Amino acid sequence: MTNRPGRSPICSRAVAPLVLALMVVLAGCAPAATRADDAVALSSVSDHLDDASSAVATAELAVRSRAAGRLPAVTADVAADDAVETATGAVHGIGTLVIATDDADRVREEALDAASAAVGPVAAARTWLGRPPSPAGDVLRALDDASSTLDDASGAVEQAEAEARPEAQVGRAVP
Amino acid sequence: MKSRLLTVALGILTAIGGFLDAGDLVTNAVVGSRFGLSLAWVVLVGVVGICVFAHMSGKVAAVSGRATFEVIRERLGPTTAGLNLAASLAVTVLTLVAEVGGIALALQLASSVDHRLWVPVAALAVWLVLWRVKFNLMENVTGLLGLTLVGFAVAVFLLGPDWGDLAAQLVPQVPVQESAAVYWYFAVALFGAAMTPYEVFFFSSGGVEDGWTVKDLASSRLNVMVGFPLGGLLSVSIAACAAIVLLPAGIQVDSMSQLTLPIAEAGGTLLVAVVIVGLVAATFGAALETALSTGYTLSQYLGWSWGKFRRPARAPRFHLAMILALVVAVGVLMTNVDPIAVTEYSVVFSAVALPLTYLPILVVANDPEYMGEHVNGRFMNVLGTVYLFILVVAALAAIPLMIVTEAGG
Repeated sequence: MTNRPGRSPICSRAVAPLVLALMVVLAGCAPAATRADDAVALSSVSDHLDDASSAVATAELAVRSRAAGRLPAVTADVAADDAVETATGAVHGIGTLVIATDDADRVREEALDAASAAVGPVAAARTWLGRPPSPAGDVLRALDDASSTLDDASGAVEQAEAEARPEAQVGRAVP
Repeated sequence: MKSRLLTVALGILTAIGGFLDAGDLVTNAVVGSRFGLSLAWVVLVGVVGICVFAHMSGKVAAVSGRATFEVIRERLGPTTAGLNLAASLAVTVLTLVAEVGGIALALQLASSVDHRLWVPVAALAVWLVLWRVKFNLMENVTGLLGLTLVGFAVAVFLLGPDWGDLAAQLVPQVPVQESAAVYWYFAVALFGAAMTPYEVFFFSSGGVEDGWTVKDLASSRLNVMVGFPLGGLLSVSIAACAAIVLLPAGIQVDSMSQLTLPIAEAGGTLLVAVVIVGLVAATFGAALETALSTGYTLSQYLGWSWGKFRRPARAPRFHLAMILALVVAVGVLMTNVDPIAVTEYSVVFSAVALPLTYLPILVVANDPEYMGEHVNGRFMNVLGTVYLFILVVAALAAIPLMIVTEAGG
């Protein structure tokens, strides 16, 4: 290793404490940032679950309208296709979030399961729309189940999100 | 007399049918599905604003015989006008991207063929019309076909809502499940959608294309003051359809196909088909207007010959500018970007550019050198100044709100 010309030892001595101080400050921020990150991430999970629920409701409305002969087949197909895209987007969104703590990660896993489980019924709705007319009962029941599962997951996420908020942590620390 | 009445009626009808574009369609449906009618007041504010400034720019065109942007460059100098041009052009091209994407999405609803395949077809059709079809015919056909969007208003009645409940939603308030920042973000977006900058440039240049004179001021005023508010009512009816059907079902609008679901509930396949025709016509008409606006603003700033009243060979750079804008639109849409997201961003960036577009119009409309005895009266100036203040507030708030709310969450 060779000494680089132009860099004075005084400069190196001044930079080292600065870097150290910065690291200490960042390390001190870490626990609070984790809680805040969890709250933000769980808020995102909640938004993605809303998207998944919206996709399920869209597919359900498209199927009901088509079954009643009120929506042209091509338009219903586009609505269901868009719903599938939204539902898969929600799964991708939840799956790619970075969660800092185990508790929050467990809630995320449940949300991911619920969102993933919703994709099937929405895709099945599109398949049903593409086939010759047949009773829509099974498709609608599956969509109803998916909707209930998503509602439960949303409730759990909202509760976890409230607990992860920094103000909730502060409130708990005060006797 | 009868012919005059017909012309006025046609002008009003095309103003109603041509009022809505992809930005209005998407933003109103999104807002209705999330906020009910609690943001309908923004449409009212936006419609009064666009009436004020469209009337001013129409008057400038009719009195001076020149389009607004030509006068702006002459009156404010190349630097200020250049800044205005850069902002307006960027927003107009972004709006063109949204409109071409809107045509493709609307055609997808009628065919189930992926919108990405429709994008080049839509752009080619827009170019062919710009190249071959006369200005009046183009404006009247798209405007009259756009009138079929009245299907949204019909659907509101057919859905038979609780009118008291619907009226109660008109009170401005932030819903429990939404934050105040998101509410104001969508208020700015809705305002930007109603007052899109290209509309006034198109209106004034269209006045020159139609050969307006001082004699046409009354009919121009009637078109604006009657046609635009009725167009605004259509905007509110789109939000109302979403508020009646989609909001209670927990559906948040993120695609154009969802706009047809309340229509299907209300009127069945026939009304859906009618509304799809309206969606294609509205977005197609707006694509023509935005493409023309890019040609108008650029040509008027740089002093090129412009206008559809000239043969394309007589205004080659004007036509080339429109072709390039369409190529950019196709290029952007071919990157697989979501046209709905582009539309949402375009209305917000419109809000940012609003003061740059509308301040010069207010200045020119007060210049006796151009306007003679037709300079703005006190009432128009007070209204214009109040709106300028609102425009500045909306422009300053747009980007911070977009960042804070992650573009509406």
